[in-house]
Amino acid sequence: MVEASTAQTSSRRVPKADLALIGREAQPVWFEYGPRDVALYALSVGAGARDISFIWDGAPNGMRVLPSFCLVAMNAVGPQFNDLIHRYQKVEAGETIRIHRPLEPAGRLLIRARIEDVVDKGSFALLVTKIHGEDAEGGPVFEIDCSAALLGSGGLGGLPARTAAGERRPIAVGRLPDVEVSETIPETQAALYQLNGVDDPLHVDPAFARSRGFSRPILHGPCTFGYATRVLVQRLCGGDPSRLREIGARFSSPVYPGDRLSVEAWTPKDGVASFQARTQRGPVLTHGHAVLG
Amino acid sequence: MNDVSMPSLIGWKTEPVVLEHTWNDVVLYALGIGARAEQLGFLYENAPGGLQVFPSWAVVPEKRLTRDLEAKLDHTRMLHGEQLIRQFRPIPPSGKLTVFAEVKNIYDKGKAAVIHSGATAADESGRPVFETVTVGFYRGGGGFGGDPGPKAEPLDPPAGTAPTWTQTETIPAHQHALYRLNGDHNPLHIDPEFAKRSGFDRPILHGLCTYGFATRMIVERACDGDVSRFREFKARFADVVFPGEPLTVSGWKQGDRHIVQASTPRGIVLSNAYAVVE
Repeated sequence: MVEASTAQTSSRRVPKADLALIGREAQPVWFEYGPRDVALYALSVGAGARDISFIWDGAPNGMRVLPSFCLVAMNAVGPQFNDLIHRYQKVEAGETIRIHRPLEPAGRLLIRARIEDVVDKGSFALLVTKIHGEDAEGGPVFEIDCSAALLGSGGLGGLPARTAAGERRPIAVGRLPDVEVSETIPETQAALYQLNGVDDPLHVDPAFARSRGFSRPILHGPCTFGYATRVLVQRLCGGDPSRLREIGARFSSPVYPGDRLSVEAWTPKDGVASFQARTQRGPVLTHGHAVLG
Repeated sequence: MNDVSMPSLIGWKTEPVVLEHTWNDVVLYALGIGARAEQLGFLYENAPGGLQVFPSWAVVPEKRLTRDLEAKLDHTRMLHGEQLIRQFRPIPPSGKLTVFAEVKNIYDKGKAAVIHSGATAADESGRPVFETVTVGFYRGGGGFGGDPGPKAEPLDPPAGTAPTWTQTETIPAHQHALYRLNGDHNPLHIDPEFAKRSGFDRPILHGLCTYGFATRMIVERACDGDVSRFREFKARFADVVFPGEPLTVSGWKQGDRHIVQASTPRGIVLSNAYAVVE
């Protein structure tokens, strides 16, 4: 959402990004979940009645958990950082998820989070957070590289604009996508996605959205990302989420509930697939990559 | 086969239970009965004027408390016949309710028994919030020498009169999957194989989901969106609804009462229905 919203940043003065944020850690939090959470998440990223293994724990071959469900686990530590960054105008800018072990339909995970970097991008600053999910024995289950843009908080002075570690290059594809799935995002989808433990009025409160320079509440970037994850699992992994080992993308522009979302993917070269997503207005997920097993 | 005797269920009653709910629960319910994005007052916990709760949310705690009663009965012989809710004051968007459930009456219709059960809730100050009644037709449960009960009052819309209000909405194709997250886990509403064995091509919508859609439309069209004006809604489940079907709900105003009817293109699905509003 960086490019589209930078120009719209409201006139409210926001502080420059504070480099002292680097290294701040959240208190580890236990995240407990069950099939109801898994089903709610799947429905909130557009799973339908036919995608029965994503929405029903009684499905014939068992319930399957979308890899991007770990973004719900991440929400468990979100409130701790909110106090640190509430002065900024934050929008989600991108994620990369790595799955070490497929998520079970129910479980208890220890979530750790640390702010890894604050990157000056000129008009905005990029806040890069690393989140780890571990099982009760300390075994790694997932990790997330999460980027948020702090709008209007760049230009730190003296520090050149640079690229954060692990940031992906744009995908260079010279051929038509192998997979293209278009879906209309229901008008209520942001309200539904909010029930995954998100506490951000930008996605539901029209007055708040206007104060941040948007004409109305925008869809959560991770919701769009979840749509893309589901499409990739269904179309490139034969419906088996355990084959998706890593997925990442940049959120380049806002999606509004009611938009027509098209996810385009290119089948893997050396195990790495490329993807992007766009609405009728243009690209919304860019730099998309997925590592398949 | 479970063969509990009907007289033994008369007087069944739970202890009062304190149930806590949050804005998450009531927003999930609102989405489960098709609330639209512009109905912010039902979807956003910090909505101007506060979050409102659709009165039919009352069936969620009711279901939770009558689970033990349902477990005593053979569910393949049970048909959800009617539902009634009475609201005494708007349901708080979060907090604790003290709720108990009971069997109110069991009537003997010869072959079938008609079981009236329900829940009663009070708020943290002890003030009554709602009362619900579920009428279940229990096949093969009659013939125990009980009271046949009163004859049902016929409640048809006035012939040849256009409804005071009418609203048609298409039930989204995945609505049953969303509604069941409110705690209604009957496989008939999710499992295609179970639905086929029960004689349906595919999973059907929960009757109480249809009832919720109708309640929402009553709030919108007969209460001007203000749940505090809602008093009572009763309906008979006349036929099933499939996800993806258009649902039309109409009301005929008669004093403080609206005769209500709901239908799909296949026919009437909620009959003998009325709502009382202020």
